[in-house]
Amino acid sequence: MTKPLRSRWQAALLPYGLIAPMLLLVGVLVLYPMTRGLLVSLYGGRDLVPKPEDFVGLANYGALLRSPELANALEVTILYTAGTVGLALLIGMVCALLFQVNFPGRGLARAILTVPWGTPLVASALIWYWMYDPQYGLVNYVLRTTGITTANVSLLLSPQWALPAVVLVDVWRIFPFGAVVLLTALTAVDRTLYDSAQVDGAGPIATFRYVTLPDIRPTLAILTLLFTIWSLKRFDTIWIMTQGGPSDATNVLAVSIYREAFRNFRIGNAAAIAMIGITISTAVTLGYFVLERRRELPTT
Amino acid sequence: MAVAFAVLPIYWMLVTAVQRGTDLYVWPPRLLPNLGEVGVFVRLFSTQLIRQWLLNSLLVGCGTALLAVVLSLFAAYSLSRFRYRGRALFGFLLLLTQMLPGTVLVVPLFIFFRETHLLNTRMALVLADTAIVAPITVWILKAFFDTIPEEIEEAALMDGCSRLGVLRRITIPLSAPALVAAFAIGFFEAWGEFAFALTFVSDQSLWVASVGLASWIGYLTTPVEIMMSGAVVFTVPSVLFFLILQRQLVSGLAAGAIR
Repeated sequence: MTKPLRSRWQAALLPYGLIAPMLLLVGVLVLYPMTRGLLVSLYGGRDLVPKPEDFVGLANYGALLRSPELANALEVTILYTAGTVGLALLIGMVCALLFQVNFPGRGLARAILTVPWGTPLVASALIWYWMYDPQYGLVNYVLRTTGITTANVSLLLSPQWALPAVVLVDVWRIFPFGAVVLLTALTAVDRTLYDSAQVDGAGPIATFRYVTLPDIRPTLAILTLLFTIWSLKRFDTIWIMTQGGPSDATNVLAVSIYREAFRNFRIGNAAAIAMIGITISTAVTLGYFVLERRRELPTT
Repeated sequence: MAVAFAVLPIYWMLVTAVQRGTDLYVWPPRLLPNLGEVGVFVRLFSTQLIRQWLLNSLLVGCGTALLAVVLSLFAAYSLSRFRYRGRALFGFLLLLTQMLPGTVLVVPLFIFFRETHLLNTRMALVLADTAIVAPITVWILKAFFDTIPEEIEEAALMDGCSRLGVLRRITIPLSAPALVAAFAIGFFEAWGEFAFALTFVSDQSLWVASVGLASWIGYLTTPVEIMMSGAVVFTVPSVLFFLILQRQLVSGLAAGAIR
């Protein structure tokens, strides 16, 4: 069966033609701006389109690597990410384990868990901003009735409370996602393994450690990756609640890029920080894949 | 405990929205509401701007969803049905967008939109949001197309139907649920998006609701019950969508981020 040459050509080009519009969009709106960003990071000055005489080579990067601001931003980013990912995984895990038990209202409780995750970031920021209110806020009320503090605290204006405060908002938003995903993984664990563990006299902790954990490890790894990427990206809630302050206590990389560009108008510097941010995100993702490959476990 | 942690802020938002200011600015906070002002939503909508902001969000959301679905439909079909040179690379390029922090793109995109005179237009937001959400919608549609048996399509091809005809007459009708899901995902990505909307649009009447609501934090004059009722109106559609599509979202997000 030989088709005419023209239609064979058409058939060969069809898959490219179908994907071309999407590639065009991603190319124009992601890859091209990224390249521009890389170039801009080599210029000083404050112009959006840098002048040739402002070319400074790698000077922006050199200055950044020596600057205490970047060191602080990196430290805050690591604390923010570690805190968010760790707490969200922990609470999500506990939640998922509890949801394995059948209790009245389980379906409703599960549905409620979806609510924070579905709440838009801006709305979350507004809610928590009001809850953190120094004068009338619910959080201060809880802190005082539990005896953690004796007087009301301006949480978002205090250098030691601001970071935990913004971490808590993100934990609140993402832990339900972790719970739902982990619950799916838990239900897939082979029941007979639990029975044999019981026969062997393993307690609940040993059972979790040696039966459950190995089985859900790939899911946990993926969740950790997802949460890490999300936390590294997080901008909205922090910008709305603290703008990176007080005294840079919540100035994560994403926020410092924005501040450099649209508050301090140091475009080249902002672009350079952005490149450092991209490098970190890429490194995290590559690290995940290398680790997974090494374990030679199938990732689902 | 965890459920309480999840639900308390939501409860507080709802309760705050429907109380009078005099019952809100009190210490200790009232844990049980004094339902003084359910009419707050009337007051909220009587301010001209919020209506405009919500309308802008709706427009940008629909534009994004439509563009994302149409482009992803073809891209996903290409990735799902054909084996060709460059296929893996294209898939990887799409994935790359997913990993990037949004603010990384803000500066170069700002420059780009300024040059193309798209700053201060809702179109800029539609384009930028589509680029961000496209990888997820592509992977969701591809995963769905993969489950449609190729035999059905081959039968139609034998009958003289062209590839595009197959796509139009068989694949698209069969994938209706996935297309609806992709549309909703595109819509709510744009609905909640903040960084682009904050930067690319400066005209107050062109703001989307996310930027408008966030701007209230700066003005101490906005009463908190108005702020919270705005948050309620902004949140409810999004939460409903997440409740309905929970399962697809979990697998879609996981798939988009991993493959």
